[in-house]
Amino acid sequence: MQYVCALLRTARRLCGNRESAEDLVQETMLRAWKAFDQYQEQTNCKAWLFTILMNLWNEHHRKPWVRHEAAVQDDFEPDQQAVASNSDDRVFIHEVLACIDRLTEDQRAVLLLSVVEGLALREIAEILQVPIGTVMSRLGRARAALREYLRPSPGALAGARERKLCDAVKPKGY
Amino acid sequence: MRCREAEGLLAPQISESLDAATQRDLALHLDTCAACRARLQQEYELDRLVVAAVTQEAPATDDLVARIEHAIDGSRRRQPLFFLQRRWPAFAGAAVVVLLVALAVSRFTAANSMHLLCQDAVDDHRTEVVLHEPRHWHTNSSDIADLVRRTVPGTQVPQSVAGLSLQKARICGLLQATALHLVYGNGSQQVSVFFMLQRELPSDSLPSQAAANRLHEETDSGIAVASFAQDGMGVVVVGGPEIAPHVADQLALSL
Repeated sequence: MQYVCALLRTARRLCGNRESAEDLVQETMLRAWKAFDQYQEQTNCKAWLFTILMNLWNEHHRKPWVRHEAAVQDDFEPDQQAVASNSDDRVFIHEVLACIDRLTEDQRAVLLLSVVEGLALREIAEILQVPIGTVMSRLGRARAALREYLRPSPGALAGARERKLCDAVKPKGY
Repeated sequence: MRCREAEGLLAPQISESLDAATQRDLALHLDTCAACRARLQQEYELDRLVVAAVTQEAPATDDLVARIEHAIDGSRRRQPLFFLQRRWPAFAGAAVVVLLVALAVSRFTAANSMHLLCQDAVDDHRTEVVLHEPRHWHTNSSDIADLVRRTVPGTQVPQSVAGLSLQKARICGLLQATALHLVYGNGSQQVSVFFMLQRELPSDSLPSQAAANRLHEETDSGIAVASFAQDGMGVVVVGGPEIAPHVADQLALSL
């Protein structure tokens, strides 16, 4: 169960709401348990679980009920367990997450698997069943889009929060 | 290496996956180019922001782990006997034959999408309500009211019907359609009511009047299905044969 947290945070960003994400992770773990004889020892168990999760996601995410459910529940309250210590940080985290959610599904999946989960590009290529060059280009486009979304508006660069953004997304002239 | 070439390689995940020669070229370029070093720093900062946001927002998993363990326990109890596992190819082949025959028979018996929808509703009721397969339910009355308001706006869903009170609610999928799944019950029996949110029930199966139309009954297993249409929205009721039709009749009149 050590990877449940990692699966859930990725599923949460893919599904857009907690209920669907929990159902997706539960189904992933159940399918992994049933197919454990297919797991090859000395391979990355985390990558194997993410393969199952992404397969399930690909099986279901184009079904209208999943999209509808996400739309219905978009306005759910944020988690009570969010651990950011003050309201500024919470707002800041919310903004970064909103920018991540604006990425295309393909870009978001690659960004989460590589940056947050630390999987190798080769593993991600196997999980998503695409060439590694596709993974690299999706990652590059995701990072460029994220920098663009996070770029603070001119004249709003006074606070610590804006400085954090500015540090990460300075324009190309540096 | 020039800045333009280096630019596409600066993302940490990409630079780490480069071959040794390209990594050496990139390192040499970074030694001499302050602008690319600054850009590399920005890439790391961007990663730090993303990781911080996604991991800090991550919800608690205690309840989910309990649900998963419960689901695995249930699945373990339903595992086939060992000798069946050993002979799975023969059983799989037999199952395929049976399925093909059943499919052919079902076509001849005019099984339609409504029938499949009802079957799916029966399956959901059996696994999630009768067998208590773990799912995320809204049980608080205000949460249920909020979910109802957002999914079937304008519909006055009763708090009790046919002596059963509204107990819990969740969004679910029936075939490829979204449904609001409500459970009414008392101490001894429970009835599922599915409001189809995205797709109307097949028109060839819908009654024109408001009275509930019993489409399908499984009296052997003690489960009955009734359905009706209200303002173009399909409603499917699943429960015991002695109560489900009454719930459907009352809902058809009260909605």
